[in-house]
Amino acid sequence: MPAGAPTTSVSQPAGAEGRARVWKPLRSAEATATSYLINDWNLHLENYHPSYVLDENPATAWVEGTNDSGENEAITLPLSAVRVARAIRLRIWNGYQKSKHVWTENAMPRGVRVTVLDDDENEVVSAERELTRTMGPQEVVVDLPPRRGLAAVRLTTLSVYPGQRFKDTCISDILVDVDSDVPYNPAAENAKHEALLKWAAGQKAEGSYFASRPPELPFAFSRYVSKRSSADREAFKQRLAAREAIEKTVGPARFRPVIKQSVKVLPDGLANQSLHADDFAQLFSTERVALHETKDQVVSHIRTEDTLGQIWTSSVRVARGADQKSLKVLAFDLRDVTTERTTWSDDRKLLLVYGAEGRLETLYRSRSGFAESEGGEDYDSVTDTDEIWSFAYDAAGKVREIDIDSLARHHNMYGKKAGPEREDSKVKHVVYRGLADKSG
Amino acid sequence: MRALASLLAFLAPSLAAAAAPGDAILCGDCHGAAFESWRTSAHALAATNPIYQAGFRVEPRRFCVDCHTSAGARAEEGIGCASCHAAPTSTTPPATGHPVALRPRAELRDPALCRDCHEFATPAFEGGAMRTTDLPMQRTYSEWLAYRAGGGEGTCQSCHLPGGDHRMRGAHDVELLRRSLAVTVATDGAGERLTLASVGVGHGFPTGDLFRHLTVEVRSLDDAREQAWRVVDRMGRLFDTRLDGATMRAYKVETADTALVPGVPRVVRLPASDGALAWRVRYHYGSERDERRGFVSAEALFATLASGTVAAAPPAARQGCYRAPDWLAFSCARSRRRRAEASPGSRARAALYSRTASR
Repeated sequence: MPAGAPTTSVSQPAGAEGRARVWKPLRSAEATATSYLINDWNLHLENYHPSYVLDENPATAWVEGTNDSGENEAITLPLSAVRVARAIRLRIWNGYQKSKHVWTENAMPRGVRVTVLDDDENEVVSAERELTRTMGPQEVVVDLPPRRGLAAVRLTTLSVYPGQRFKDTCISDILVDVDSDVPYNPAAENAKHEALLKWAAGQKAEGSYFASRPPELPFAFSRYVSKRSSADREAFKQRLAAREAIEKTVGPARFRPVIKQSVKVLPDGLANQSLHADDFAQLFSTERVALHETKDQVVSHIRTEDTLGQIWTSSVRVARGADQKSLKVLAFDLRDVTTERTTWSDDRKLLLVYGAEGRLETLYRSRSGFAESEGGEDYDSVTDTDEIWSFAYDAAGKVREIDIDSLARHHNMYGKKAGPEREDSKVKHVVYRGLADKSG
Repeated sequence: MRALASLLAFLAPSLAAAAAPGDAILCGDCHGAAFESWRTSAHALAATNPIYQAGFRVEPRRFCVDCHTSAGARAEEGIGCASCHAAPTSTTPPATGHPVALRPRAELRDPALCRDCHEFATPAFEGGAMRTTDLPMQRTYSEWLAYRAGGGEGTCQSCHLPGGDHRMRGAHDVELLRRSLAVTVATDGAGERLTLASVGVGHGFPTGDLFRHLTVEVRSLDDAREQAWRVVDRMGRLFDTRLDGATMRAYKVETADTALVPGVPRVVRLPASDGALAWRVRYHYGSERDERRGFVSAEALFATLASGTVAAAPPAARQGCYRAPDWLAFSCARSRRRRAEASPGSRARAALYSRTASR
């Protein structure tokens, strides 16, 4: 199994012009598929994600997710756009090649259609091939029409070799090489492969983490699924008005929070960037937090890879209960700064309200930053969002459900749409419910 | 009229039909030669070239659009005729035969005309608003002023528009870049060294976009373990982000500028090697991050300006700027500043780099 940095190889037979092929590897950081199998037998729901065909590890595989044998299911690998190429080569590890036993139990593609796509996802060329039922790699070479390039390749299953036990059709690995004179950028290809390996390592670590969950972990489930609807705007605004009163109870003294039990991994479904759940994941329970008084405005700084992003967290201010000891409210700010040619920030103000048992009950969060859409008329579109998060706990005191209501206001700094703020007409209501798993 | 008709036939019908009042295509009717030259210029590709497109994909800011398109023209035309030739205010009546008032010729010949787009500050976006910082994002005009203060000759127009040549050849003309860089190889007791100097350049090299840089790279021709190119020196600007703890205001800072300065050669020691070494000098149009992202093809991101080989050199103490590029880039900036201060008639240059390093 090849591994490490991309290397160029020369292969026979000769190409159409009688010259030897010079194959240069094209990597992908992520693959997509029409479906993939989801189960939770080991507390990890993406065991058969299509990106596993890219990790150069035959012990992992893409497994299609239909109820039948997976005919007409397709996997697509986005590649660096190559302006002109003579041919591509796929090296396919057909079936689930984790072991001979697993390989024979599962199905694998037999007839396949290889479709080369351009930057606009238009078909450049398509060819049907028959794969063999053999372990190890097998090659498929597809010539491109003259002066045509590629930006992705899609493999569609037309027929299958059935498995002895399961109907699931699997592919362990697909490596793509291109024969082209276009200058090759090994740094970009390496970066994509490293990103893929980082993702795979993260998946593995996350599965292991939740499989050995300590009792202190505040979440009841390893995965949360969301359901979206809308909510009443006036009711939201009345609830939001409470935030102002709560803020007034917060004292001026500043503290550095020290966490007794760190949450290193968030559950699937909560661990995405727009939720920013890791901003407060350490603070679910007052029992987890010790406060050290400080005069510092900023108490934490995280520098992400290559200084592209930096996150500064302010010290916290608090409100105590009537006993002057119990922690009722905790407030702090974050500035998440990205530096490219310019610098821009996603600013977040957080107000955490704790219940009688010291559990986080309500979170008020205000966000301000550029809208996530890119280009077109949306440039310089700023979005300010007020959110109210409500947490529900199970009998063991772990988070069972999270309800988030949010209302956004938008304004454009420049251009035709510049002008006064526009408030969303509806409150977005999202419920995150834990998905029961075997140990849940 | 025949020129316009043939031009329209050449261009896609939809493009011609969609011509806006400020479009360069309308000027081409009477100024065919200048128009044809301009069509091959980097100005014409300002909004459509892949490096700008990739940058805009990461940072879709109106701020960028202002200098990469012409007001009143289709965006895909880039910087068209009107950007430079139209008078900035409409108080002057249109010139004879022209739809708009034109700038006087004297203004067109003034380097200050180029300053608006080739010298500007870095913006920062926070709290839903844009603020301008003290850090120049591009400063080619200041570099040119320093060059002139040091006795340099020529203007933006005399070098980039010689005889009214609207191709405006610059950093995207690789042959021009190659002619603008002199590289000499020499050996002394400490080993092989390259000396790099810009030739006939009235500003930094590289200049313009803040991420452009040069690298000096080597690879072994004999040792199978050292086949990959490795960077031994980097010439360009480096940045970081800092935070004011009291206000939580973030600001970008320049930590080094090691671009070649006119008249100041740079010596790069090659690493000691038991075998022969290949070396090359590459011009990078984007940042290292751009290269890793892969949004832009390699052929648009790099250009090799010079290359060669050197025979095996005796082991020597490692010195120069190849061991830790970031740290050494800064130390090289300091040494270059010392050199600039020491050379007669270069007070302006020294002031420029003092300002940079103090940020």
